[in-house]
Amino acid sequence: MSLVDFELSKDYSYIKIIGSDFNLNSFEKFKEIIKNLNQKNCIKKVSIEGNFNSRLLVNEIFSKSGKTSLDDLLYLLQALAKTIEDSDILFTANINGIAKGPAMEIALACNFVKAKTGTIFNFTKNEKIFFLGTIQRLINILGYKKTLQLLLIEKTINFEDATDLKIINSNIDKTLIRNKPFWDQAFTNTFIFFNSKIHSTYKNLIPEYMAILSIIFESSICDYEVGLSIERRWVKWLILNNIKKS
Amino acid sequence: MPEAYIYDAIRTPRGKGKISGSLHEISPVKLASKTLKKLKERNNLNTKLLDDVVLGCVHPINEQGSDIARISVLDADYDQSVPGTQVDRFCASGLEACNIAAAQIMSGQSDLTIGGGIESMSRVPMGSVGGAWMTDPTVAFKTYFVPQGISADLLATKYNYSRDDVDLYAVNSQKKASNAWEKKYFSKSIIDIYDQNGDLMLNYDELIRKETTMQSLASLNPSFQKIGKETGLNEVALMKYPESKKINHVHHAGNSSGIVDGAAAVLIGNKEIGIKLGIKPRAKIKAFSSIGTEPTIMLTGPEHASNKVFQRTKMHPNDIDLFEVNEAFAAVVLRYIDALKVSEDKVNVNGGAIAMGHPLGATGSMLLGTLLDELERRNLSTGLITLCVGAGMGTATIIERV
Repeated sequence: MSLVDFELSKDYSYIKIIGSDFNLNSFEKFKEIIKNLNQKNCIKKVSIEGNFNSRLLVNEIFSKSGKTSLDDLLYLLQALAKTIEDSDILFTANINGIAKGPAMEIALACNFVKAKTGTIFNFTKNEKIFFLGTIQRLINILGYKKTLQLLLIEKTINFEDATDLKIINSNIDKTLIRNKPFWDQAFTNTFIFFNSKIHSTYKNLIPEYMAILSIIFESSICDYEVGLSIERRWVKWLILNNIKKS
Repeated sequence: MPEAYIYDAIRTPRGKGKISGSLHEISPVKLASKTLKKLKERNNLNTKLLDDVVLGCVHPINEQGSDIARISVLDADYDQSVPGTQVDRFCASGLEACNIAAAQIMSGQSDLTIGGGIESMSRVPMGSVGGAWMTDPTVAFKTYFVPQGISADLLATKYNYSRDDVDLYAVNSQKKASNAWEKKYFSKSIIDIYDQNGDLMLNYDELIRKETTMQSLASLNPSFQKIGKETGLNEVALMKYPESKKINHVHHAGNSSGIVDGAAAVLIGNKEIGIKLGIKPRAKIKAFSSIGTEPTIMLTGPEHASNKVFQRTKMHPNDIDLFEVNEAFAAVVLRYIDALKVSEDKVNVNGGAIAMGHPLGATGSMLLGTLLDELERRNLSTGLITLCVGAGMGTATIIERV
């Protein structure tokens, strides 16, 4: 196990992610760094770099956190990504290699995602589910259909495709407003396809997929903020589900 | 003819019908199925005995489309033999659903049914269903189509209801609804809504504004003045009602029904099924009727539907202990009271849609439950529910405690 730590450069120009395993302390430390940066009015740009191939220490975070309720914890985690999004500082994620887990989600919350050739985004569920509002951000960037495809079928995406999809090396427009309502014949057909595909393949044995489908379905007519709330409810459902099982 | 008995009636609280509303995050099928689940639980219902579930829904598209009644039945884990059908009589859909459910019992074709309704106005917005009446010029011209808000102002103009009259009615609606909540008059019917994790989403009607006063309403601009004037809608209405000369725009957000999300379900059956299930009937559906009236003024249907049902039953307004007249707009209720010469003290005694909101497809069945609860609380016998309905219709139902 290599717990994640963050190194903030002396000139505040970059934050380096060191290690691969996120626990609650990792998030709290990262939040503290962002909070301090936001208080320094002179800072315009910050780069986030280092190891983006990460994983979430699920049990430690959700079962043993002991400090706060599950709701507060989930809210705190999403607020972390929102802090990056809402900041006046321009955050750029510089990825080289595999991007996975919480570090990838942090990268996707940045204003700009840069990546080197050979970078692979891995969307396989990181032990539980994407929990920093990633699904809502992906829907805004890619639309519901591609998001479903990515999270449920393709699961990894290479540098070229990520470029084509404007996940990387494109300026992510924060004012992007979701095209709504999604509802049309294509929406219905898309869900019929993905529901049956996942149901027939996994026999409803992977609750993460039910959660992903439901998050995207239920937030289909909602704005971004409500979508985040729906995402929180389903992440909580997954965690409670897993606690029950174990 | 078999009698149609009401065994139980429940409703969800009404959430604000916008993105900040507490029920916005729950899909309409879940909202409807929660009422069905609760009905099953409260009555220890063997759902194999159910012959039909009829749900009103005014915007049966998207999430509310494809027969939401049957889908809710399946989602509520009812026996698969239970069918479901969705009906639309605009704002009276929820009551019409109960009437149809009752008619199945009365005709001897069913033993046990559920009537109810669902409308998630925050997720499937008003108007999204489209329709020829307002869009097809050959129909719109012929029928002098105007939106309901213009009709409401036309109604107020025709019968001389001033801004003060309608505002005073609205203030009282708020007071009565607040009082009813404080004294827990709705508690018999209300079911709390929880999410998939068991977290409470809503347990009260969140639209109520207890602090509403004549002064606070006076600051609101009429909702239909601008659109009526600028788009020619006033002229269309006046072409039909030239004697009115000018439309007095008195309705606004504070004296019109609120946009909300909600669902309701009413368990109806014959006498034998109650004995079989060991449940006691609370009332019977004595009679009902719907009617069409002049569509431009649109909102006078309640008085005509009521008179029709009185004729059929040889009853008189004086035979009714309490009325629930849907508060689509304040002028609708004021006109009803005047037309039928009924005491205001008998009408909407616990407020109505102006205070608590009007989840279109569900309201009628909600009113039925509210009326039944209040008849029981006051130990009275007979009540009438009526709603004005789009395109000039009206629906009325008389219930009688047993």
